[in-house]
Amino acid sequence: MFQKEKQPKSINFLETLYDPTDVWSNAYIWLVSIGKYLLIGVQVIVLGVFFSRFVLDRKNNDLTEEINNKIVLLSNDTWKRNAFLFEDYQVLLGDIKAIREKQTINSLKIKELISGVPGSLVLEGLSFSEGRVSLRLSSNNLNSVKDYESALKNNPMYEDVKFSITKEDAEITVGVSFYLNTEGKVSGRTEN
Amino acid sequence: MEERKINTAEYVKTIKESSEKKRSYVFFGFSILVVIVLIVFAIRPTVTTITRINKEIEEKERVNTLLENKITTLNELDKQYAPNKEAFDDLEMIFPPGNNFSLLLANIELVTTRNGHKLSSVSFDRYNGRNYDITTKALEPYTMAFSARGREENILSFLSELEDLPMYPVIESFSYSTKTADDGTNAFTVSLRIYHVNNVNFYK
Repeated sequence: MFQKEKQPKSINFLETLYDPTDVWSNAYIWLVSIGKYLLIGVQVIVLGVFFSRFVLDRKNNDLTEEINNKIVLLSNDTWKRNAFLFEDYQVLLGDIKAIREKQTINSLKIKELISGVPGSLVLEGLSFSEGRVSLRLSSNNLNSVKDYESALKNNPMYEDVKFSITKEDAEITVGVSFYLNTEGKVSGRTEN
Repeated sequence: MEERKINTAEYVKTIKESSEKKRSYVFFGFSILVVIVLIVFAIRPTVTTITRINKEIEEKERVNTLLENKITTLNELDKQYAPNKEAFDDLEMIFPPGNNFSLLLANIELVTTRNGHKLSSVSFDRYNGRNYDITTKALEPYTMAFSARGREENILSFLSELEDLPMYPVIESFSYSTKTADDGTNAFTVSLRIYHVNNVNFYK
């Protein structure tokens, strides 16, 4: 009479309690479970990117404004004139420094040439032109001329030393020509 | 024993072929699609724009720094220039624009007189020296030649004083003869390398 209902002796875990079958219900479940976090995550990234763009845009605009202000300031006539003037002076001072340091002082060389003529020889004339030197000497002592010739030819400061000696009675006339050798280069001499 | 094996296989089959699993694959795929669409059409263009703006900002910062430096330098130069304006104005006389060598000529005349010499003739010409190898941007060499008469003993000091002038002239050629005239003077000629600024508007 009182027949008990047959109870199952196992639980089926594979059978879900709520098992929607239509697509919209599944989409809803997906949206509130996985999709929600996925979309929130992507939206956060999108917001971050947009926000950073706004910040960068503002910075960019500020910089543009600052640059424009400076350009306007520098375009002022006084500033422009000063800029050109100072630039020219800078170039000029650089040039002055270059010529002051690089050019040779020839008055010293001429002084050395004249003082290098021995007392036994009389300097009649001197010509100096871009490192080329010509001397006109006279003497009555041939040995003095020979000594001077030897001294010049053995001096590394002088190159291509040429002597021409003419003798009339006791008077010896000497023509000397040579090039000055300054710091390894012979000034004034054109190489063939 | 046989019955149990059949049950397990059925369960595995049920799991593998369950409709819910298929649906989860579909929605996973859909999620990926949504993410890709967002990345391609929302994030990527914005990131590209941000990269471009960043480059613009870097370039503008560089330009801004250069302009700032220029303004600071000009300010500084103006401060240094103001008290030395007269000295700078003298440069226009020392290294004249064009061929106006009036200060040099006045100085040479002064040096000549001081050494007891007299100028006979003066000429200016383009520089044709072969040995000049100094590279300059504004200054250009020029030639000044003159002949003079004076006492022999003062010639060396005269030459030395010439090269001490603030125009940095250099003696390119010099010739003299010891043949003395009736008044006890000797003739000599000097050719100087002098400098000028070729641009007439250089100092303006």
